[in-house]
Amino acid sequence: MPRRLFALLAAVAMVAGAFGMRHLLDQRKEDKAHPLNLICVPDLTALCQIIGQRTDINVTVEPASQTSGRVVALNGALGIDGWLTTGPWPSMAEAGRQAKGLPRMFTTTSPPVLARTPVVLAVWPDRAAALRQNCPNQQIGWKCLGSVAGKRQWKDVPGGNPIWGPVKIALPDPGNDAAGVTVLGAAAVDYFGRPDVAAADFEDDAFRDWVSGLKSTTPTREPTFSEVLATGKSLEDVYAGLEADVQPALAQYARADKPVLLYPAPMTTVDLVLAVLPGRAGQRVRVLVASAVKDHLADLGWRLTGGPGRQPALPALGAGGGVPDPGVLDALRLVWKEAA
Amino acid sequence: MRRTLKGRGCLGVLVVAALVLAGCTTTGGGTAFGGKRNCTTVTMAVSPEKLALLTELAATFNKDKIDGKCVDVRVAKTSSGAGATLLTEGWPDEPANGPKPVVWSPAASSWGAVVNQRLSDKGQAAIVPTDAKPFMLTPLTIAMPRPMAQALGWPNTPIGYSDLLALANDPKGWAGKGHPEWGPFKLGKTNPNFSTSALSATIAQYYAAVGKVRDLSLEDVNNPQVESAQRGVESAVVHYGDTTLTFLNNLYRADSRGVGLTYVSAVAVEEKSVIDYNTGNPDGILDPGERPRPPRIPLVAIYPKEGTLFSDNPLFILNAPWVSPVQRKAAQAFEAFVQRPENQRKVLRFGFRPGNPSVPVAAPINAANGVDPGQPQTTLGLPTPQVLVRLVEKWGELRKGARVLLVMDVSGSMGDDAGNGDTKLELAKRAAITALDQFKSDDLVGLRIFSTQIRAQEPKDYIDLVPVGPISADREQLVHSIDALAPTNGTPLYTAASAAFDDMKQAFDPARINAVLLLTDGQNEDPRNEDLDGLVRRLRSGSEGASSGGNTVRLFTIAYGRDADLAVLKRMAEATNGASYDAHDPTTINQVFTAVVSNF
Repeated sequence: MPRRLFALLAAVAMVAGAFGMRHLLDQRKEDKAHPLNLICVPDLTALCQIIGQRTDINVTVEPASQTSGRVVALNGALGIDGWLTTGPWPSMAEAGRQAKGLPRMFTTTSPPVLARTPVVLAVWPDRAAALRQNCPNQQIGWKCLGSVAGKRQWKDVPGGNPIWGPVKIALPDPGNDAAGVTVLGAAAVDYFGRPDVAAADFEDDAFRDWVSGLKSTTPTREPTFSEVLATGKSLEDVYAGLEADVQPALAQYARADKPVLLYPAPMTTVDLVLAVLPGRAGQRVRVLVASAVKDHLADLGWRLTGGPGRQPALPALGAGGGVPDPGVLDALRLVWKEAA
Repeated sequence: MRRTLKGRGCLGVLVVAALVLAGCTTTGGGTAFGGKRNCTTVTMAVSPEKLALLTELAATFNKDKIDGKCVDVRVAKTSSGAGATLLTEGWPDEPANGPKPVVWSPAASSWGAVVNQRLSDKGQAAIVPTDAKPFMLTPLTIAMPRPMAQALGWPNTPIGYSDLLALANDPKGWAGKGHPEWGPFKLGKTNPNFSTSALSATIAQYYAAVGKVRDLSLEDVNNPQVESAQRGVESAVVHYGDTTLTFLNNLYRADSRGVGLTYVSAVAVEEKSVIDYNTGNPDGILDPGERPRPPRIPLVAIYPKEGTLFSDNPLFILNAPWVSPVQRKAAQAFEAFVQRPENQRKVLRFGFRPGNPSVPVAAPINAANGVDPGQPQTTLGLPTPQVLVRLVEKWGELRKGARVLLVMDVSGSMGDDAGNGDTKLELAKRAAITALDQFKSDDLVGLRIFSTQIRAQEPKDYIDLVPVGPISADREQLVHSIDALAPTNGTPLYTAASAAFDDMKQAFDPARINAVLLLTDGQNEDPRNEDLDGLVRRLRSGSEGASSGGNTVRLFTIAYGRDADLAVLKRMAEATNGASYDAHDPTTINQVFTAVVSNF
């Protein structure tokens, strides 16, 4: 009897194993038939290249605004399995879909954070000295930066030197750029002096003038920080970007007159997120991307969540937050677009 | 059975042979141009100023392997404007133009934008990436002889295009600045269809005229007031051309004769060229045994107060159908290689600033060489591709007008075979007719032919087939007359050159570039006039200093075919601060004609 039972169990196990094997083979076949597609934002090009090199995922680089626009407008398949971008974009896109009565696109409205990096300013020393004269407590922050930008020419800025010509502040474009909208959100929080900024606040004419001033000094295409360092202060007086990009380049900089690295208050971080679509393909993208990038994030200057990163001398990250919620950020993008 | 086996054996041998042959073939189509065997060939088309450096770097790079495979980076010279044109046309005629490049490195990124826009206008996809790193940098400057810069307030007063425009429009010229001996303000500027410094200077002029530093728009370019300012600047131009080296060489020679200040007051050139000039190497190339001798009066680099642009020398790995993934990967490895600090330090030797900011900017970029590493103060934004293309078109409309006498040799030797089945005269006729399209409608152009005893009455050695007049009215007649040319007798070169120079000088038009374009395939064959030194003296005294009367006619010569005497033609052209062009290979006459006409 026990032998028969054993034989029966063995038979069942073999059948189950066969089914399991069949399922695995079918999945592999299906996986082969379905190449994985990931969209990556241009700010993360180095990471995108690593993913492209270390996995079979087809990686397409596309500005966040374009992907977001498609996500919001689509009432069907997006044709991708994942979107590697920065924090607010998937949430903003989902909010846009919700407003149109469309179902959720990604597995979650707030994808988990893979890594973080603070927003920083790199300022040439002589420009920093002039800016400090125009900022409360000599602390360079977004509000006073916008006010200086509004004067347009250094000859009109107390402490500025007329030969410096126009004020040039490079901000990542909030209209298109992944990090840009976070930067503008942080700037708005500093302008109003409180974190609970609402879309209604943006009707304020003085605020809109301030945004216009900031926009007037910003190039249509933000140069890379390497370009700024290579060409010197003639290209930009102030460069706003991500610590992950700016700090390593500054560490390598070997010329006189090195730009100073500032963390404007309130310290704001840009979060690296991977939004995936429901289903096995999305799951595979999540696993493959996590595995491909985990050893490289710190090398690329990102701070791993929960850890100090590779640069202990840099200031610790705050609790995060400090940026308006996605709906408000979307309204802020509109203010930027409308600014003269 | 044996036959079958034998047959199989033969097949096997063939397969093995084919595999061996396949193994011997370079990857990516390198065999056609002699790439190293079993290597990935990366062809590069680079602008002339970095040919030597990139060739040196490629030789070092080629010693190592990438992923266990050898790479053969091959560097060829192509001027930026010519490269842009070739890429727009799909890089035709590889035997003549060189192999299709995997990497294109023009002097500045602006050329990439021009190519993409021209392709877009033709409904084709962009092939030039927009995110290439700068390999090495040099800002566009306005180079001025030091005393002239000082007369404008240098180094204490910032100088810009607005100051040059004011000076160009001042009827008193330099007399208004206390220096009547320098005559009118004269600007040296090249042709933006060919030259990066001219393209950058034209962009900068527009920005200065509209008071912007970024986002130059089509409305700005088409604004009538801006047009007027552009005409003002262009009116001061001495002549154009395909390279700034013509100006620097002419200035250097004039300086050595002590008359440099009357040739040109300012030249739009890159910072690197100022360094070369001041070290006594105006063309940036030291021939074996050549010892550089600094000029009497050095140049200083003016960084325009309105802002300027950098030539960033990008290495564009093309998104073209002829670039394979393997070639792309190898090209990326080379791009990373040239960015290494030890390689970036080498760019300083050539007067460039390193593109990698981890390498300091050092000598020779210093005040001793007339340049300032702390400048410029403002970098202008690169306009959109549509604006760039429009800007170049607009320059064609607003540039200084030309008054040109085309003087063509129709001696008997022009009937010789050019080496490709055509006679030299046939090739020259076609090139001349094509070049007529480069003139703008209100330019004045005439046609003269010369040969000994070409007619019975005086002057016996030349005939004006089409008098100098508006090309808009005379184009058909010019084409018809050129087309009908036939070879005749000998070559009265000195008489023809002298007479053309005198005639053009007599009817000099100060509002235009006055020039003689002389094409000849031989040497002077006229026993009645063999005094070359006398001719050169006459040409020089009529071209510079007080004796010229300010009516300067430039002589541009083309040495056509193997028998042409390039040295003599060079002396003649340089005596008038013009330039001589070498078309020893008759099949290059089309390109040479295009280059010569770019001066007008």
